[in-house]
Amino acid sequence: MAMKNEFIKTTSGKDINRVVDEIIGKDTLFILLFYGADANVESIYDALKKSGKYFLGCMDSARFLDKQYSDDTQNIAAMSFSSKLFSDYAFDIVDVSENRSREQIREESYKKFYNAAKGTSIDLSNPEMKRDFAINLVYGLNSATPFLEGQTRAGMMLQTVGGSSGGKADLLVSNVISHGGIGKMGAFFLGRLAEGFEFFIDHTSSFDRLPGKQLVVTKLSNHCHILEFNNLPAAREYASVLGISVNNLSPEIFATYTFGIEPSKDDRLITGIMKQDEGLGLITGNDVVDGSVFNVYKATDQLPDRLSKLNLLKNKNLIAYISFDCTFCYLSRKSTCSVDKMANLYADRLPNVPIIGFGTFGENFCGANIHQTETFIAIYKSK
Amino acid sequence: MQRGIVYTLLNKIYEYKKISQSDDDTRKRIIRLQLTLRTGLSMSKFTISSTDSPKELKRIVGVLQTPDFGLYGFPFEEYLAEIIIPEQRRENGNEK
Repeated sequence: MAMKNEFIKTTSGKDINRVVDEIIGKDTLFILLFYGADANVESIYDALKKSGKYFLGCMDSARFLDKQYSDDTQNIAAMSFSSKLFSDYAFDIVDVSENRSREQIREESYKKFYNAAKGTSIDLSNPEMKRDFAINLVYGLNSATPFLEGQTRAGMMLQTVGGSSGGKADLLVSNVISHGGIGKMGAFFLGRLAEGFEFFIDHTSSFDRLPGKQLVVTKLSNHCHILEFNNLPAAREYASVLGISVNNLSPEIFATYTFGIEPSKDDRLITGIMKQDEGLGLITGNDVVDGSVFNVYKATDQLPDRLSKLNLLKNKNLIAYISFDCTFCYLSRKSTCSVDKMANLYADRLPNVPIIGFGTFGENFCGANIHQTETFIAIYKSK
Repeated sequence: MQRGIVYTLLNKIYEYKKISQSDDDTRKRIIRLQLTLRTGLSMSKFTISSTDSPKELKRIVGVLQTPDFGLYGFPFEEYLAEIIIPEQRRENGNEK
């Protein structure tokens, strides 16, 4: 399936050379792509390098292209952007591998983001809120937080969106690629839309708050490892607020009942529980601050929340929609046989709009690394 | 402590940062998001009439004073006084 308008083209397939041929036009500025864990990343990289275009992509567990989900592990989905869409832009990569300290990652991210903006007309301290943005793809088997913190330090008001790469359920292999390299990195595109274009960035998660339930982080082992809630062993206290035995905790329970904090009413930053440690601690997918006062949530049907966000776009002349949608959300839809219903919702609400997305191992939104959420950017004509 | 002090503080910060243009909601949203993220406290609970905890106010002020927020010259002392004075009273055994 392929779609295009004057500024955007999309396509998918297993043959990267065909994908590149189909997607590149004479005014193509850059390509965004997502590929399954069994796709040949070296061939993808070589073919894209040969094209001479900028590119940004990552491995994932499933992807979304033009209203169809695919979890084919060899498939590639790609979207190209015309240079006519942007008046200024920059790209760069940051090494986020395990052998680097969080401070090193934060510092490199800060410098690269700051310098990238310096080479453009984008003022990170006072960005144009409807035209300046960044898209981040971050290696998903490490926390994206220091990478995002570096960007926030460089310019808190610059709106950013993106996701962390995924792969197979064994969580052993994942990578990010760009024209700057392949590997355990965070890659970003920083851009200013041309006159006549604007964007809308937001996020959606589908949870009901359990009234009266709170979990206060009283002991952390590290930024993603909670030892105690409410001065009691974390897993036991979490199970207790749910009214179940700690022996009954499972990946399904973690996906269904999670915790988070709220910047404002109806705005939630969701923390993903990855697993229980060997004892009674809990490992999270994103960073947790000591003393956090978490609300407890129960997952609900994703369709109504997505619909209400898509309705915000209904009067806009959209030309592209890019989705960073948590793998857990996709798996949950799969388990409730609602994958097609969700795809149809996008098809119905965004007819003729090129869409790309991938199943993330962490989503980012304006510097926050969150989970069980869809973050997205929609680009539209303002005139 | 004065009721709604965190709410008042946030409004003063929006004023100080001259967040009053058409995109002000996005800028306010980012400030609230970053404060929530860095303090671990839901900013949604701080309303015009909420009874806020001095310990939480101190945490919020501590985060706002970091360079990322660019609030150089903001009169934080007015808000810190709300925390420090009761603390000193407690230390001196004078709190009623």
